[in-house]
Amino acid sequence: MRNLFRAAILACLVSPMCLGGSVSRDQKKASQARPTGIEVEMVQFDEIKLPTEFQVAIYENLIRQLQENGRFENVYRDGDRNATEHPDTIVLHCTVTGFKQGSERARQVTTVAGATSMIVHCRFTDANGRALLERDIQGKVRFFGGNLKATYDFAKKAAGVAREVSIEQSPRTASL
Amino acid sequence: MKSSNPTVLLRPRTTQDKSSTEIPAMIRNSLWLTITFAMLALSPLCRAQSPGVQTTREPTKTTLVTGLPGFKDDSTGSLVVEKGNLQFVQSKNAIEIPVPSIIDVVTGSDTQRVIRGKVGTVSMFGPYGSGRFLSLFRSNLDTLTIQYRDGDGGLHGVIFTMGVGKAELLKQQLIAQGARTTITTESSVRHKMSKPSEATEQNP
Repeated sequence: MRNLFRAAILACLVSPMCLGGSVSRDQKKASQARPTGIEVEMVQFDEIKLPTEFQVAIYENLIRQLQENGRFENVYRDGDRNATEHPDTIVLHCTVTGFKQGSERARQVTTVAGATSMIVHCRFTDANGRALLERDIQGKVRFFGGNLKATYDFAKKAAGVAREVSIEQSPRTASL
Repeated sequence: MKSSNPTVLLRPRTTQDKSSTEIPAMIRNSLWLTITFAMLALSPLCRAQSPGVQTTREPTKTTLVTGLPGFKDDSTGSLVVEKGNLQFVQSKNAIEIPVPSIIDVVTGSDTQRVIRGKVGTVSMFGPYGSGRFLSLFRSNLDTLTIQYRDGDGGLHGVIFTMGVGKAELLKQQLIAQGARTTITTESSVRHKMSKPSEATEQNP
C-alpha cells in the first residue's frame, strides 16, 4: 500500500516534467522552420587571383547541386527578381579565400603532384541579412579529371551543408 | 653542222624591234608602280577595319563545358554571332543568348589530352607507364567564359572551349555587337575609342 502511494507521488512529479519537455521540444521545432528557397549569389574573391572560368564553374555547379539536392523547392540565381517574393528564402554568399591551380598533365603523369584545391567561405543568411550558418568548405581534385572538377567537389559538399540550414523564426511567428 | 631550227633563222635582230620591246616594258613598269602606290594608299583603310567589325559569320566548333540550360556538359556544337544573338547550335537543339544581356566575356587558355574519350581512358591503364607517357601529349585550347542575365534578372555563366585563336575572334564579334567585358583587349579599346569620336562628329 505504501509502495503504491510512493509510485503515485512519483508519477505525479515526473509526468509534468516529461510533458513540459515535449512541449518545449515542439516549441523549438516550431521556432526553427525550414527555408523553401535559396538564392545563390555570384562567387566573390578578394585577395587571391581566381580565373573567371573557375568563378563561373563554382557558381553553376553550386546551383545544379542545390537543384539536384531536393532540399529547396526553389533555387534562385543571383539577381533573380522572383527571390524577393518569398520571405523565407535564404541567401548563400560564397567567397573564395584560398585557391591553388594544379596541372592536369602533372596529375596524369605523376599521380601525386598537380592537385587543384580551393577553400570557399560559405555564409548562409536570411532575407534580412542575419547570418544563419557560416562554414569553410574545401574543393579539390587529386587524380582524375580537369582542374574545374574541384568546383564540382566543392559544390557537392556545399549542397550537403545547405541541408543543415534552418531559419530561426521569432516566437510569434512560430506560434502561428 | 648548222642549226636546223627554222624559227631562229626567220627572226633577225633589228634596232626597230629593240625599241618596240622597250615601250611595253615601260608600260609594264609604270603599271607595277601604279599598283604599288594604290596598295600603299589603300593599306590604312585595311588596317582601320578591325577584326571586330568582320562580317564573317562562320560557325565556330565548340564544346560546352558547363552552364547552358537544356544542354548536357561536354556536348559539342557550334557558336555563331548573328543578328545580335549568340547562338549555340547542337544537332537538334539550339539556344540564343541576346548579346546586350551579356555582362562579361572573358577568354582564357587550357590544354587537353590528345588521345581522349573512351580510347583515352583505356590508354590510361596501359602497361609500363605508357598511359602516363601519352598524357604528355596535349593540345592547346581556348576557353570562352560568358556571363549573362536572363529575363528575370538571374545571372548565368557559360564556359565553352574551342580551337586556338577562335575565342578572341568571337569575343571581338560580341563586343562589337554590344556585349561588355571586364578584361579589355586592344581591339575593344580601339572600338571604345572610336565611339566618342563618332559622337563628336555627329554633334554640330
